[in-house]
Amino acid sequence: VSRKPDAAAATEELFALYKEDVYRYARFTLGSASDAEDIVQEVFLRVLKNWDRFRGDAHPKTWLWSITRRCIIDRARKLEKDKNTTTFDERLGGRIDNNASEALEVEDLLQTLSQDQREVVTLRLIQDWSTTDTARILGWSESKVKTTLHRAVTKMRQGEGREYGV
Amino acid sequence: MEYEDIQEKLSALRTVRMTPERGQQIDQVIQNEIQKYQARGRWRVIGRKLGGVGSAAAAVVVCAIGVGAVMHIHQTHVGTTTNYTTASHGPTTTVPISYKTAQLTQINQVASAVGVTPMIPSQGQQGDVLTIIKNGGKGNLILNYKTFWIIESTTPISEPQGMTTRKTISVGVQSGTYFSNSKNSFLYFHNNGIYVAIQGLQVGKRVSEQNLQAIATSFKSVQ
Repeated sequence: VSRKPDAAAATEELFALYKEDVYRYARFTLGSASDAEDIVQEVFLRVLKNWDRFRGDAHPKTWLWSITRRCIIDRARKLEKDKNTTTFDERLGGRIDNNASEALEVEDLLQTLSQDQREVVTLRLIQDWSTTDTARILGWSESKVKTTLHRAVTKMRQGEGREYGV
Repeated sequence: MEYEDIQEKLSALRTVRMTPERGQQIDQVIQNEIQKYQARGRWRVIGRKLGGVGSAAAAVVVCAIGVGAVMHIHQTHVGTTTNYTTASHGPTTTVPISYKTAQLTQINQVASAVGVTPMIPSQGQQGDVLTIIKNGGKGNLILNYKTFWIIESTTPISEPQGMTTRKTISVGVQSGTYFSNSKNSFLYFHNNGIYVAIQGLQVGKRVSEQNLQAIATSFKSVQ
């Protein structure tokens, strides 16, 4: 998205480029395939509605991730009462191209983290956002991003250790 | 990089994707909203051009154009009515679909939230049951069955792209438009103020024209 196109063109382009990344961000943060799919739809409808208000002071992808985050937060609040209802079968609804069992195992490990930690891990280690961009998307300081990531990784390593009886 | 070990483990998650069926649905909902957005934009431009002293007159003209546009879109959907195709070219293999009271209640609740007067098919293909009721955004209700899914919308639904067949067929006493290509098939029709699109949900398994026609003809209001 180089020059600012109209909302329809921008929505189509951003959808084509990033729908799966938005899906993964939502899915790994919320731990639910169907909620993540709903969020993809909601995010791009919000893009269409709000594109005219996008001033272009950040990269459109960063703006898109900020919208995604707001949708995730809204959804997480709604899901608060129904915690831990995600089923194994539901997660299989998403396609995993190779080694599905390994991916599900890693996803289980991810789900042992808090939502903040899952978000940081997804953005920094799965989607390769820089610390600066991650801080911008989450509305945090860079030091909070680093600390949260460090704690998350420590917890994941400990989880792995338990899993293999180390 | 101090997190290389974890990052390598997490790399298994980089290929997780949405199901193609749901991706297709979302795409269609967004295309539909884009079409509405573009229509609103055209009317705003016309309104501005005709604005100023004659704004009241402009509003009337814009409304007239709006009605005309909707009528035109609807006309485009149904095409001419002289070449109706009936289901006589192949067997219809639909079976009754049953609904639980809780499902009907849920349909009514979601439909009410999005502002759609809901209708449901009483016929489907072998094994069809209602699996998902979704809020497709304002004015759009989505119903998934095992082998097909439905959008019910208060505004015209954008036509599918890349179709090789497009023809007018009868849907009860009314008409609809059947679209197909090698991968999927669609039936669009308008009933009781609601625009309806039915399409196959299983990739590579088209719903036959006859079955789409029978499913569409079986639509009833939700009691």
